[in-house]
Amino acid sequence: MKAKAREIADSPLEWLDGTGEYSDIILSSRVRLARNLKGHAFPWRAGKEELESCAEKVGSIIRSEDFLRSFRLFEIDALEPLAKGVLIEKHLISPALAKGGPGRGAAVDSRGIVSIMVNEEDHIRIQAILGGMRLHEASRIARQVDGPLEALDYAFDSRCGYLTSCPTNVGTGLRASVMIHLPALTHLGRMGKLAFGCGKVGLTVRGLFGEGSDSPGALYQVSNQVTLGQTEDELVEKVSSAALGLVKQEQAARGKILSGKGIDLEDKVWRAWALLGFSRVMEAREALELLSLVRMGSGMGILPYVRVGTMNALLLDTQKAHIQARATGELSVEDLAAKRSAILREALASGEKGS
Amino acid sequence: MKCERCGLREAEVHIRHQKGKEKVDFHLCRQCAEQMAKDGLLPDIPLDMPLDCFPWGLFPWQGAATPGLETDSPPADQRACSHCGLDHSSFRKTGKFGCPDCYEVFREDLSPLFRKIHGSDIHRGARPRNACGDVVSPEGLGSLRKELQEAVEKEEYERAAVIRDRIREIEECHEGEG
Repeated sequence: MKAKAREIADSPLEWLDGTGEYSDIILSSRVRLARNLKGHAFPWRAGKEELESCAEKVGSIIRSEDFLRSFRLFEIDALEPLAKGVLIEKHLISPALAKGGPGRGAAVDSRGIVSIMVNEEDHIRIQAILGGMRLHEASRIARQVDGPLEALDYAFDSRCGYLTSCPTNVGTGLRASVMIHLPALTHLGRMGKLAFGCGKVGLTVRGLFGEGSDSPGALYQVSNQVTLGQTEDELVEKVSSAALGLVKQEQAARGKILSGKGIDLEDKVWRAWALLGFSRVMEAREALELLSLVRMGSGMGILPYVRVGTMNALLLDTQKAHIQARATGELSVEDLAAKRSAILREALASGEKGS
Repeated sequence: MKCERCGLREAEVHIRHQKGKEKVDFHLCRQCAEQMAKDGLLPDIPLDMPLDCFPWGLFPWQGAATPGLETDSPPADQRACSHCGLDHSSFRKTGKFGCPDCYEVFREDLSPLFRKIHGSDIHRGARPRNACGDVVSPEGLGSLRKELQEAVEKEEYERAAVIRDRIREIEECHEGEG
């Protein structure tokens, strides 16, 4: 059974490669579209038969359309918990979808760019994730996938746009977001104000792990709040330009810290390097925080160069389900922390040699 | 719409009973709906539909605890979606639509709601290739024109421009069809 979880863990995810502009700071660009089928109750209000019939309709398009035929289909209830955990950590399905139930499914392309969730909050959720600052491209890909699915007769209203279960998604049904690493701005205590400013222009900033000001690993998600009244391109452009603004501010903040008490910063990132390179037990949260420091230190040229792809992969490879899926047998909590530490040591050692 | 049983009062309860391709719609006033339910004349409600989505003690087993019928207090908003059964109070409580038809049923509420959430109530983005058909009946076009006029009077020019573009699109769409 575990073979499947392992295989999913080992399957590619395009954004991890670290290609794309500003990929040292902007880890990934994601665009998702919410769509529903005309004449069917939304998933939260639909019975078993209706859910299954929607899933069958979506499945039949995916199986028959040239462009989508190679997608891998998952029936959520047929998956073991560990495989679901891996898919969640890869952001290919949401925790809500992983709860399963009739007609709950997902389809994923072979390069790990596109996933289609079926019967989550809406009948169809299409998402495309690419590495670096590539929101416009992600948006094009998502709409390309949307094309053939349109044959299903979407619930659409000329006034309200694409109809969704939640009024916060109506209109374009589009949510554009970037995963962005802002350790210097976080260190300087600027994130609260920046998030507030983003809120004023219709953008949401939130910590990727945890909520509010305490975001371990200084990873944030910036996304559009509104989905109605603007075109897809306008929404995508708004998030793009905000993200680029944050990149510039982060770079300036790094320069400022370095020119101030530079030695403290150097000490901090070198200590992180030492801990990742030599410790024998590592909790998930600590790993996230140390990886954040090493990512910044490497990006600033203080530490040895580590490929962005290596650091991206480590974010996933050190998470619980990924470690369990690749281990032989069931790991205890202690085993897990020891294994995590070993993964980090090896990756950094080989990364350094490769530089 | 008048109640189809008594033909006197406004129809406030809309029920659609569907089995396979067979559809039966009921449009009833409260009193008639209650009477029919007591008489066992309404089809069974589906099992997966939460009972509390029926307000006002429509069905006997909901007991007298539900407010509305016996009291003189003004009746709650009685709109309910005939397709999925979502009533107005559930819609307000959950903040979610039950099905695409709910947008039609609760249309009056949408504009203020959307403007609060999105700062706009008109879609300007992409549309499905086949969406032209449902675009708009002549009345819809008329109401858009009225809105345009209102927006101009209120000096909401940005909004007016959006509505104007929409009207133009619809007109082109219809010309294309004709």
